[in-house]
Amino acid sequence: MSGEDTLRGYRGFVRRKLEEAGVRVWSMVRVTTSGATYEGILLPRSELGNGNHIVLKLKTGYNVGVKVTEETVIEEIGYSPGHYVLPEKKVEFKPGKPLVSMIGTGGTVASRLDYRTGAVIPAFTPQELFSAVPELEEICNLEMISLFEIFSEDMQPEYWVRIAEKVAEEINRGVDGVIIAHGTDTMHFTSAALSFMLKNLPVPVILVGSQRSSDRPSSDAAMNLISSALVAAKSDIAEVVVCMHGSSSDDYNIIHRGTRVRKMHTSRRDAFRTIGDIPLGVVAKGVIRMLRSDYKRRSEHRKVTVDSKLDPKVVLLYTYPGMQPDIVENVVNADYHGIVLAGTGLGHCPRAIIPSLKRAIKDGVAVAMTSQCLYGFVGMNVYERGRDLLSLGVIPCGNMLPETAYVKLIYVLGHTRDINEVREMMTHNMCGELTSGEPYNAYLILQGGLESAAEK
Amino acid sequence: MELALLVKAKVVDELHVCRKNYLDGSVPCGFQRTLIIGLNGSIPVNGKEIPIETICIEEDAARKVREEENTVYYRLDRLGIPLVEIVTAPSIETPEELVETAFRIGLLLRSTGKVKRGIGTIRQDINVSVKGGARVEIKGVQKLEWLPKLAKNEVIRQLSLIRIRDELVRRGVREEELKIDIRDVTEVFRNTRSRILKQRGDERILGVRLSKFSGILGVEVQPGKRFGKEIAEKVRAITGLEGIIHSDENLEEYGISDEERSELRRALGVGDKDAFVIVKALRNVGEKALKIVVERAHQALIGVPNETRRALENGNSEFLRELHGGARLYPDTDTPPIRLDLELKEKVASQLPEYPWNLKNKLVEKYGINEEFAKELILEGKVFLFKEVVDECNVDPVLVASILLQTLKALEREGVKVEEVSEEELKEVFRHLSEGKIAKEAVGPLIAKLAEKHVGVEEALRELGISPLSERELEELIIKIVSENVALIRERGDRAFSPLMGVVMKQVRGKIDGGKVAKILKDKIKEVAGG
Repeated sequence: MSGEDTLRGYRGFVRRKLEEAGVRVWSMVRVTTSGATYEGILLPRSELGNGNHIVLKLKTGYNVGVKVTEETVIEEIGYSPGHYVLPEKKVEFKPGKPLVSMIGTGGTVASRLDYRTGAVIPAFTPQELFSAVPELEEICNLEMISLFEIFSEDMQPEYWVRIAEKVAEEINRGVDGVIIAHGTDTMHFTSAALSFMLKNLPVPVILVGSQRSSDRPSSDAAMNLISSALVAAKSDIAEVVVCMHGSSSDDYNIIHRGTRVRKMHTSRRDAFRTIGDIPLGVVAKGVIRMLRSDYKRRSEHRKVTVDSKLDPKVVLLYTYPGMQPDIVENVVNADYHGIVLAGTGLGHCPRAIIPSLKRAIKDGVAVAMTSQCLYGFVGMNVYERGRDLLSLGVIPCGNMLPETAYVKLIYVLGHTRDINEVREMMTHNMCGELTSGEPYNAYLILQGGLESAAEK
Repeated sequence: MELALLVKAKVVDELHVCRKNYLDGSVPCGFQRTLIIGLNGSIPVNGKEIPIETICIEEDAARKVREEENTVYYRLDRLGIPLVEIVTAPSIETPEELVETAFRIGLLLRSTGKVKRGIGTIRQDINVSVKGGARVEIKGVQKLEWLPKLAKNEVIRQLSLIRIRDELVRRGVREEELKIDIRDVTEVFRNTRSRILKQRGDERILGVRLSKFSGILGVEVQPGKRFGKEIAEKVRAITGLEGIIHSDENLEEYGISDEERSELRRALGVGDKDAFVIVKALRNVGEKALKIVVERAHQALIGVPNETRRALENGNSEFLRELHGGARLYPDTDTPPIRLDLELKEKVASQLPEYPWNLKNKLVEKYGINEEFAKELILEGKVFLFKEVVDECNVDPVLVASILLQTLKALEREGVKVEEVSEEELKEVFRHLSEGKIAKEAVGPLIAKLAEKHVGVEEALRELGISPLSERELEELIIKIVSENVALIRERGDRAFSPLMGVVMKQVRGKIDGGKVAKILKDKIKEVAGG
C-alpha cells in the first residue's frame, strides 16, 4: 500500500482535518459536527466532489456526505481496508482447448462489485476475468493484452492501425481467434476499419463491448464475452465481426458483419443491428447458428497482412434543410481530401451547396454520397438533383452505411488520390460493405408492433 | 425533507444515491435507487419518544400480480414511484405501542398533504426478535390492524423454533447427520392409488431422510401451522413446487398405503427416530427442493433463521427470502452526490405543518367541530384546506367539514371524479356559499359540474340553471307569492307557512339559503295576517 494515497479524492481543508485526525480511507470513524454524530467507514471521495464534505458508509449500508467545518471532531475507531482485488483463480493452460487472444482498448470488459465498500473492481487479467466470468474457462485458453486505455469516442484512425497490427501479430503467433474489447459508441467504425485493413484473415476477429456497465445487474458484459469467446474459439468464420446482444433479454447474441453493423440505440442491450442485410449468425445457449453461408471460412493456410495506408483527411457531413455552402467551402479550404455526405432520401442535398461541391470536386476532393436513411440504396438517377450531383462527379455509394463509407474513403485515399481509381474502389465491394440487394426481411424496425396491429 | 424535519431528524448534508440489487424481477434494471435524507429523529408516542433511525427516499418496485410455474407477472404501475421509508429503532415494546407508532407516522405523512392515499400506499414492515431468536422482517403489512397479531404470531413462531432447537439439542442431533442424501423412490409408488403421487410425464418422486427428526415437522409453529408447512412454504417460494409430503402427516389422506409407507421408509433408510420428506417433481427441481429441506433442518439446530417474510391476512407469515443486510447497498454511478440546499431547508423548516396530534384538539377547540371530524380531516390530509376555507370565507366550520368529508365522499361514490376539482375551485364554491350566492343544497351538483369541466363557478351555476338570487329579489318574489295568497293566509294564519314555503322553495332551491327564505316568508305572512 505504500505510495498509495490514503486519503484518495480528498483535498484542501477537509484533507487537512482528516490528516490531523490521523484517519485514512477505510477507517471506521466517528464524526461529531453541529450537534450530530455519525459513525461509518470513510470512503474515497469522487474527484468531482466538492472540497468540504466527507463520505461515510453507515452501518446500515447507506452512504452519506457529511459537511466538515472547523468545529467538526473526527476520531478513528477502527480500520478495515477495502479489497481492490478479485479473488485470483489459478488458470492452467488446457491442451486441446482453442487459444484466444483478447485485446483491451479501454474501459472495463468485466468487473465485480465489492459490496462492503461499494467499489467497482475492474477485471482484466485472465485470472480476474475467469473469476468474474467463470464460463470463459470452459470455452478456451484466454490471453489478455492491454493495448491502450481510451474511451471509444476518442478513437482515431491511427489507433485503428495499432489495433490491426496487434491483431495480425497475435494471429501470426497462432491463436485461433481474437477478441477486441471496445467501447460501444464507435465500435462499428473500428469494425469497418479492421475489415478493410486486415487482409487474408485465417481466423475470426470479434469486437465486443457492453451497453450496460458491469456494475449493474442488467449488464450485458458477461453474456457478450461468453458469446464472443465461443465465436472466437469455435466458429468457422474468418472475418471481422461484432458480437453483441440480439434482444433485450439474455436470449441470444447476434454476429454482425463488421461493415454492415451500426449502434442504433443509446442504451438498449440490443443496440447493435445489422442494417439492410441479414446478420451472419446468432449465438444462443452456447451454440452458434449461422444465418447465411456467404462468409469467409477459417483456413490455416492463409497468412494475415495489414494494409494500413490511411488518409484521415476525410469528413462525414450530414445534409439538412438550410445547409449553407460555407460548411463545404471551409472543409475544402482546410485541405480535406474527401467528403462523405450522408444525404437525404435517395442521396440528395440542398441546391445551395451544389456550387461548393462543384468547386470541391474541381479541387480534387473526392465527394461520396450515402443516405442518412441508413436503410436502402442511394438512387441518384431517379430525380433531377441526383442526376445533377452525378454529373458533378459525386460518387454514389449504394447501400454503404455513412460511417462505413467514411472509413472506406479514409482507406481508399490512403492508396490513391486519382479520382477515377477512388471512384472504382468506392463503388466496388471489398468486404461486405456494399451488397447487391436488400433481402425482403432485412428492414427490422418494428414501429411498436404496427404490423400486428394492422392485422387485426 | 419536510418529514425529516418533522421528526426532528438531522438532514444529511450531502445526499448519496445508493443502489440495492433486486434480482427477483420486480425492478427491471435490477436495482432500486435509495438514499438517506434524514438520520436520528424521533416521534412522540404515548409520552415516550420512539427513535426514528433513518428516513430514506427510494423508488418503488413493481407489484407481483401472479405466478405461473417459472414465470412471474408484474404490474409496472407502481414501479419507480418515489416512496419514503421511515425506520424506527428497535425500541417498540408492545403491540399497542407498535400500532400507535404506525398510526402516528401515518398521520404525519398525511398531514404533509404530499403523499398518495389509498390501500397499499402506506405499507409497514415490522421487524421482530425475541431473546434467543433472530431479527425477522415481515413485509407487506397493508393494514394497521394486522400489526399486533402479526407481531404476536411471530413471537409465537420464534419461541416455537427455539423450543424445536432445544428438543433437537436434547436429542443430540448434529449437523453432519443431516445429509443431503436424496434418493429416487419413484419405484415405491409404481402402483400407487395416491392421486397426487401418480406419476406424470418426466416427474419423479424423490425423498430424503432427516435424522432424529421424528415428530419435529409436526410441531405447531404458528396458530394452525406446523413446522412441515413452514418448510413447504420456503420450498415453494424458491422452487415454485406446490408442496412436500412429510412423515408427520397423515399419509392416508394422500392415499399412501401402509405397505408403501413401510417400503418408502426402507428405501430411505428411515428409522423410528427419523423423519422423511418426499416431493414429486422434475428431477432437478426435486433435488433443489430437498436440498432446501435439509438446509432448513440445519438451521433448525441453530434456532431462528434471519428471514424476510410476507405478512398473511390471518396474522401468520410465510417465507419470502433470506434477510439482506446493508451489504447489498452500493453507490449509484449515474447520480453525482446532491448537496443539501440550505436555503431550501430553511424554507421548508419555516413552513412545517403543525403536528397532527396537536392539531386535533386545536381544531375541536378553535372551530367547534367534533373530534371525529377533526380526526378525519387530518387523516384525509384536508385539514389545511379546511382551515383556509374557514378563516378566509366565514362559513360555518361544521358545514365546511361536512362538505369536505361527507359531500365529497358521497359524490365520489356516485362516480364523480372529485379529485379533478382543485382546491382553488373548492374555495370558490365556499366563497359563493359564504356570500349567500348559493345555498348549501347547490354545493353537491356544483362540485360535480366542476369535476366534469373546469368552467368556473359562475358558468357552472348558469349551466345548472342556478342563478344566484339576491335577498331583494327573494323578498320581491315572496311579496308576490304572499299577495297572490292573501285569502289563504287570512284563513289559516301561521299555518299557511308550510304550503307557501313549498311554493317559494320550488322556485329558489339552491339559489339562496332556505333559512333566509323561511325568515322573510314568516315576516311577510305575519304582516298580512296581522293587517
